[in-house]
Amino acid sequence: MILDWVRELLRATDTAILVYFLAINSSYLVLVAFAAVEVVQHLRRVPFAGFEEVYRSPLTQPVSVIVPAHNEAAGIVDSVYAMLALRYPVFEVLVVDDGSSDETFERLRAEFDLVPVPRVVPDEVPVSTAVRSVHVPRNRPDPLVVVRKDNGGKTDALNVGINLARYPLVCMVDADSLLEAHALLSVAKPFADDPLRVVAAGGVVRVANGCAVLAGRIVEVRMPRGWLARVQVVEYLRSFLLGRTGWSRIGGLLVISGAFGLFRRDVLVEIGGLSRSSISEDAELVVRMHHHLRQQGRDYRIVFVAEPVSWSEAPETARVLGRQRRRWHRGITEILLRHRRMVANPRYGRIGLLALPYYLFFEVLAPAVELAGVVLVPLGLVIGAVDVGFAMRFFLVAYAYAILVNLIALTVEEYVFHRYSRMRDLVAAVAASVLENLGFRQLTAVWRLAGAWAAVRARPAVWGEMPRRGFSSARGR
Amino acid sequence: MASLATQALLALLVLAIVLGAALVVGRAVRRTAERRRSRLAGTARRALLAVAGGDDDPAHIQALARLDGPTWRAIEPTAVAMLGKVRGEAHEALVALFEQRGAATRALVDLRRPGAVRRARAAELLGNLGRAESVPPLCALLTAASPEVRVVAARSLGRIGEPAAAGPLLAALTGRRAIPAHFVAHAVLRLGTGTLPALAAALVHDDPLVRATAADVLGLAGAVTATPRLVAALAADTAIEVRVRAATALGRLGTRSALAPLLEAVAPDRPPALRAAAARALGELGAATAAATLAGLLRDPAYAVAHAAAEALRRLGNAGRAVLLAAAEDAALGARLSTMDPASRAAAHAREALAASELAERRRSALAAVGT
Repeated sequence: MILDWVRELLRATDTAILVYFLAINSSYLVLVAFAAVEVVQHLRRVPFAGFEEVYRSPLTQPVSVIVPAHNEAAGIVDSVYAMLALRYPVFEVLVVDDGSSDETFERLRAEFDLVPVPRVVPDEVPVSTAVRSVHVPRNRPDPLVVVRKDNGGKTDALNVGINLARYPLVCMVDADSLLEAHALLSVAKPFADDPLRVVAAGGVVRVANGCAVLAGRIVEVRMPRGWLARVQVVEYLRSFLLGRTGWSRIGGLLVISGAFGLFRRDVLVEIGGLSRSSISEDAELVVRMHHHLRQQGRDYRIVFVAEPVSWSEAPETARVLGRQRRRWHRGITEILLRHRRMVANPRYGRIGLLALPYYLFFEVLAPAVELAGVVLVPLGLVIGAVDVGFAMRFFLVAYAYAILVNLIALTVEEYVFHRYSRMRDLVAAVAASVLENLGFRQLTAVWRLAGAWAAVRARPAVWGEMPRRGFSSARGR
Repeated sequence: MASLATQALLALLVLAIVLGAALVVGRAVRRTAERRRSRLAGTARRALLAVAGGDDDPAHIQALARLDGPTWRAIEPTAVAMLGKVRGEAHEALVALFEQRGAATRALVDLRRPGAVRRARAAELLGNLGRAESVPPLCALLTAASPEVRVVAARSLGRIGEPAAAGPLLAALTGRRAIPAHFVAHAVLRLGTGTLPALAAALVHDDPLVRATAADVLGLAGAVTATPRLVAALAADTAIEVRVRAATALGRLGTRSALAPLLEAVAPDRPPALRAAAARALGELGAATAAATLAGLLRDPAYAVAHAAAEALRRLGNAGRAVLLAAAEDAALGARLSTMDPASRAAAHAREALAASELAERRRSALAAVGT
């Protein structure tokens, strides 16, 4: 009798999990379809996008590029050179050295001959640590400002940068990001096209591992050598490039990566800068912007530019990847807990009714369902709750369908961007599409679940450091 | 049920194979097309580069004009890109080439055909070719349904440089199908001094966006004759944004007659944005008599106002420097700007400005040393 109940319960649960996977993979497919339309339209418009005119116009809005840096001595000089070489009419690069214990500041000081200047630091955005000193190059005309402060975390460093930013647009960039030369022109374009409504814009972040790098720029795009990083290439492509482009098209973009995002400074000041209590400060910032602007009934847009602008190093070891995924998932769970009143609330439009419920069901709950599927379906098969046919259908819906979505995303990349020129890279990407669904997803589900649990229990946040392997292939200046 | 699963599995397999084939075939086709284009463009590209590089040998133009369709299509994207970048005789030579190939006529036809991308491409090309007869159809596109077509039309009108387009461009700032102001401003700016009457008239337009844009362009164009109208806008416009733009424009123009109205604009009862813009403008005017007023602004609780005053004093030469030195001595600095007393605030801003001056002087000397 009890066994029958267990069988019935397992059968119902396994069916629910199957339906869940059908829904989540279909949602990916829809997002990829939206994104495909968007990127094709975007590329057709590049010949008359007018970047040259934006570059020459005296009316183009200047940008303050804020680079928070903590123990980034290895690559900071190359990164700053690459940022100073960005193609944009007027901008400044504001490096905030967040109490580094290595030679981050010393290397910058030596390379750019920095001297201290008595800058007045406005306190429009609250910060937790004081600025110790502000430095600029002694004799060079580079628009570089280096700020030294006590360690207060990335969020605090960014808030200090917002206070010191002189220009109306603020670009937040990770110190280890490798930017395309046209990155600012591309991401500032929505602000030019729709200046009254656009308050924030994100750009595509891709995996830099394996690529050839020269003077802080990607000169040849290649697949990484390790399978862990290869899988992340496919994952970034589907989730970050196409997923966010799709969300942007339907007006529900919730995340602009901390690795590269452009914001209106006045709006950042209005909402008090980045939240110091959030472990996923980039996503929280965008959700809070939606919250604030929707509450005020303002007509605004937060958009995603379907153009590669920034390249980041992805974790290559399970330990570092695990830490990253725990942090990401904890972040998104905290955001949903903090802004729970927005979920399913018609007052917040598509954000409340579509984007946030999606993130709740298909992001926060995904690792629990993923692991439940791995355990409960085989268990159901063993005790006779489900038959082999059901198991096959489950495999098709949960894994084969997801692999297919990845292949579609790869096809979009190949037809639209075709950045990976070597055939072996294409083959590796196809293999990685399979591996992502048969191993990687299940592995990360454990870490993601741990992250969500930490958020629910409100354990103290641990950021941890991401050890950089560097871009050795062609690096140099 | 099992057969359904088998069918689904087969369907997925077929789809995966189709996608795999699409990936491989797509890449092969693209590579072949690229190689073909490269082969076709080979010698033609050399002639094109020679023309774009300023080589005035007419044989190059003739050779390019006689190219067959596939070869021209192979180098056309490069030619279009160059057309938008090169200037002077090289630009004229490229324009002649496009005219000979009938590109302008085709583009004029395309302006009326359906499809936003086609119309925008045509508008872009006509702007690069700079043909005056394109102005009326491009003006008509300023109210097109597609926002990007409207923007490209505005930019192209700016490149053509026909002053008659100023009116339609300024009119395109308002209405349901408006064009972002900075695109219009840049386009009108490129039309030259022939637009000044239209801009002066726009300063009394009903819509504040039109007035603000006109003030911007008059300042950037160096239209000193518009000073009285800008002074009037600064003093009495109903929209604060227009007054801010008028103050900025008067600073750019740098006429002495703007001094008194700008000094009035920094009065404590005016909005901070206006006071900051007026303080900056006073610095650009370089009138030493403004030093005393600016000295008072250093103590202002609004960061933007005090900072602009310090920067302005920096530009006033010795008179400004004396004020900054006096203010810098005034008080000890507090930790946070918002908790500082007025004298400390003034001292902080003064020290920043003095340090910036010193640095600028040092950089000038270093540059001069490199030059010698």
